[in-house]
Amino acid sequence: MSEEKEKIVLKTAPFDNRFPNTNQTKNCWQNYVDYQRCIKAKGEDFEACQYFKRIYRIMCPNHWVEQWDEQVENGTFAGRI
Amino acid sequence: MKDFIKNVYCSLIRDANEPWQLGFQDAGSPVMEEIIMLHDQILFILTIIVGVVLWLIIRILLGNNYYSYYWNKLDGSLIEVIWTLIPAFILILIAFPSLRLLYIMDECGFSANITIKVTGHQWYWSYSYEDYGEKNIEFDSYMIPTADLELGDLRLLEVDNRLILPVDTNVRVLITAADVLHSWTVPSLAVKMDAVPGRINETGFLIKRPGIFYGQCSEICGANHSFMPIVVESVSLSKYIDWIGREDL
Repeated sequence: MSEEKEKIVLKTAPFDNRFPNTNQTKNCWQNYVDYQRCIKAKGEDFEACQYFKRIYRIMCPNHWVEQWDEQVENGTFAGRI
Repeated sequence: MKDFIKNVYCSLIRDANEPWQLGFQDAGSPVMEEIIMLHDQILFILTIIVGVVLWLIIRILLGNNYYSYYWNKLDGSLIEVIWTLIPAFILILIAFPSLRLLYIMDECGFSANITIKVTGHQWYWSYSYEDYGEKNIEFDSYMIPTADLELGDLRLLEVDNRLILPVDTNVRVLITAADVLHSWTVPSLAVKMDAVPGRINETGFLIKRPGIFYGQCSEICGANHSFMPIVVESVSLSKYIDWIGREDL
């Protein structure tokens, strides 16, 4: 248990000046698109891309991400990657 | 007798609505404390206004003196200036604290330590914690039917899985819906945010004390709208971290 305790850090997605309002939909979308662009340009192992992934995983509802992942796979995703 | 005492005790220690309730529930967050304070201030001003106006009406209708009906019946510049300026001043006295509070409530996402995702479904809530790397905690929270309640449980308010949160920690809550409009509401924490399909709404709070806070869906969402309550259980930070470590859903 104590090992688990050490691993858990209370840290979440920081405040993003681009999205200061109650509506955070664009925040989630932008980070998802940025991640897809990042891995397309640099590959999935590129460490900096993981930042976007972490943020969109925190901000986006899981059922949205599942849908978008499918669309990316099928080439029907609406965003420009 | 013992059962009765336990029932009453359990109802009293929980932050839920109660029959014939007229006032607010006890505050569980600083924002709720401020809201109650603003409400009391406005009610104080209102009481003075009602008292003075009633007193004037009675004097004018009954009196045959300085305040009587026939006095000043044509015009009076001074009294008009006074009864314009005093209400204006009173309105300012109400508006500024109210605006201050509004902006405080809007600053929830600035310094959050925890983010919780809330999704409204017909007719249950689902919660998700994603802050802890690959350790994704996700669960649904259904109301416990009346037949399955235990002694001391609150009817139509208990759920099978409570939302566990730490005290004295800034929590960001991201709310959306999977089907129709819902509204995620916890009165003691001063939170009421619409859950809209296709949109993420952000709100937040800081819980000041350990406790169990109850709320209900506040946007008509269909046949079982009344049967999708919200229960937030606040615990100490160390207990929260233990729970996160244990939870493996």
